[in-house]
Amino acid sequence: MKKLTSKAILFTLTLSLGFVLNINMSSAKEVHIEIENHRFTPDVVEINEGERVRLIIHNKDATPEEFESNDFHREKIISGNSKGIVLVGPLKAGEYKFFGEFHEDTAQGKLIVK
Amino acid sequence: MFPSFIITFREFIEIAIIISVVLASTNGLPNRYRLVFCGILFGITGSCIIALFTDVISNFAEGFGQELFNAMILMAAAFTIGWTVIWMKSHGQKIVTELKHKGQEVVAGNLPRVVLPATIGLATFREGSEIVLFSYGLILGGESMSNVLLGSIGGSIAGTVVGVAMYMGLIKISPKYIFQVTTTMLVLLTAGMMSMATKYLVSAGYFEKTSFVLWDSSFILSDESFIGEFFGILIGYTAQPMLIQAIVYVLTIGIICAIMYKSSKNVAHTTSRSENKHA
Repeated sequence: MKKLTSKAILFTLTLSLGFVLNINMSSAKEVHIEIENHRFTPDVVEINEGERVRLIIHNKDATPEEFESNDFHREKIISGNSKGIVLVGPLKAGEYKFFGEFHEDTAQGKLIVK
Repeated sequence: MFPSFIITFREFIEIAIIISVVLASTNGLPNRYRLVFCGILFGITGSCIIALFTDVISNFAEGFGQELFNAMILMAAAFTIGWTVIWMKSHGQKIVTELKHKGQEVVAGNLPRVVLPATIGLATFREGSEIVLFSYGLILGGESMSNVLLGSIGGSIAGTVVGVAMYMGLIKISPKYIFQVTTTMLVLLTAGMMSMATKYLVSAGYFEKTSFVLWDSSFILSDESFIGEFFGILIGYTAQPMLIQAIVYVLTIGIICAIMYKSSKNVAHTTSRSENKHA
């Protein structure tokens, strides 16, 4: 059992080292999106291919929303009257849908990558 | 009531799949239902606390606290399940050689009891907190409490039905194969969780260089379909895997298998030495 535990600790340490060495939070362009009445404004966002962008989502509603996209693989819960940051990219050219999972009928938007 | 039902059902299925595989793999652990109950209580309490502190958590780590927190919970769950697999494999060998008793039941009977509530709790936290926040939002938004309650209870029952069906299917597997089958399922479950944790880390800005997508198999099985989500949890399937996800997935399987193989070799070595002494 002791051997297993020490292996586990070694594994965790190696992984943590890997994480630290891989941090690459380069400065990125900011795009602001508002959620109001369970709708996104703007609901179409354009960015360039290969670009890293910080989406700053301002939830102006009183209720929480989950900003999610299956196309660019992000999900984030944003409480009411709060903001959240979602990093996207680098992405290949195309259209990527995003939505608010808690209000999917109205909270729809898309990211256009040129 | 409908949105409440659907969201609860979807999140619950993820929890139900994990719990049913772990339960089927640990058949034989005494007082299981009490342990499961503790686990569920632990899960619900944890989910509420996490929901309460969503803002605080999010604001950590320059706004990426949520992603890091989710990644940590997933890794903790992966570790717990991975540890269980390794434990069962190494102790299984010992029991088979010492007592000439076969059967998962005997092995599982000796598992440290805390494994069950810990796994259930960890598996529940992430999805559970989403359910709590969503329901809270619905109520704030004017939906009646009873509607929300009905919807979420309905969703959890439906999710549980799926989990129970899986469990029933799993325990029907003959005692000869159940050990291998459940071990494989647990290893894949663990690898899938590590892959999901990696996805959250990428969302937080890590692994940028290896975050490009390798292929897109959405035309075969989409992540958004029911089966796609099902296999997403069960084996970690994703239609658009990133390189770093593939690396972590393979590495996790490799490491667990390597440790299992080494511990079974150790047991065989010790046993043959003691057998030689008695000869």
